[in-house]
Amino acid sequence: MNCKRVRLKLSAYQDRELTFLQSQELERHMGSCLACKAEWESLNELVNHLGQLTTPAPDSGFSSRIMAGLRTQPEKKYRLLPSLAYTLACLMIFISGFLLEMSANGQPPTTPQPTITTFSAVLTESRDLGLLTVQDSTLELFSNLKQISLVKKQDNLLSKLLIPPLQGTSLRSRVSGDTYEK
Amino acid sequence: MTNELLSDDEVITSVLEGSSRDFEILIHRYSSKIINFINGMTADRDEAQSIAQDVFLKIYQNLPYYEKQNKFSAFIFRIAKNMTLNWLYRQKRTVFFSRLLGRELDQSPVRQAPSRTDEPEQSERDEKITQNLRRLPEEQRIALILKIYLEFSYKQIQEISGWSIPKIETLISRAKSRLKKNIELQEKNSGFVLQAREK
Repeated sequence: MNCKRVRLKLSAYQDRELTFLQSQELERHMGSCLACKAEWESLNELVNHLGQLTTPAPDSGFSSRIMAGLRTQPEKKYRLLPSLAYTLACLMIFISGFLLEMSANGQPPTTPQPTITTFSAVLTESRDLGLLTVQDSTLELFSNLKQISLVKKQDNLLSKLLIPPLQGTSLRSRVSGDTYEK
Repeated sequence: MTNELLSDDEVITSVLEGSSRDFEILIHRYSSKIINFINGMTADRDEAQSIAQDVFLKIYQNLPYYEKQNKFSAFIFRIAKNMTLNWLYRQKRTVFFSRLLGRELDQSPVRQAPSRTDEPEQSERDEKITQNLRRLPEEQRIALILKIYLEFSYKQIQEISGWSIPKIETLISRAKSRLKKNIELQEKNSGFVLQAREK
């Protein structure tokens, strides 16, 4: 064992955390190395100082103050009550909202249908449904038109794209959510 | 059976069954160790008493979650370690914001309470060691205090901290070297000051 390794292990040796063989090896080295022995002695001196440090004892009323603190603490089962009350209140609000909605419509509330928000989406969906024949390049052309209101302005253009022409309907009827029957 | 003969687990069972007065047995058993640990970490005797009280209240609250096959000392020192670290972080934050606002605190955040010993020489030495101990990095300080003051084995320190044994070995070794070096440097500096005064 060289000096560097001995210095690394001195603390564990002092703490009696080395194996019997490791301790023997360390002791053998310190028997012949004065520098490591000096290091060991200074380490011992430090730990002796630390051990002699005056340690504070608990104050006279330490225990009684804690016991008084325990008495003022509510029991675990009672501390559950507030959270239970909050949960019940939330549940009540949810149920009453649901019942109000039902009484207003006469049927349970349904999830609203997603509305088409962009002009290019209108075209894409119409093509998917077989209502329109639209080239990809045309879709690209309209991809920058974001507002549904633009549908109105482009009505004339759309009528040219409709194959076959749809009688009495326009794309706006799809946008407003009306059901289109072919 | 007297209180001293009851094991920690037996006392805990009794407390959980409703006789909360038995918690006092645990307070008597561990209060000195807990206060010593916190005092070593904070270097503030009065604050150590106050934090230790909160630690025992927290232990009481968490007793239902204690698993009896584990060591109770590890359980309580884990709580003590976490609460002391929280206190130290709060102190650091206070110092940081007070400096940011350009204000000096009325009271130093880490108060050096006077050592309660009649011998001035020992008091001076205690203060020197405590100051240097306070300057160690937190992990090194925790490991050293648990080893030197509370005489825990590396295995017990592992149960408290969750660190590996080689890490604990390194932390303690570095803490001792650093502490030794700092104290030597301080003594050297005070020697220079004395020499300068004599001249």
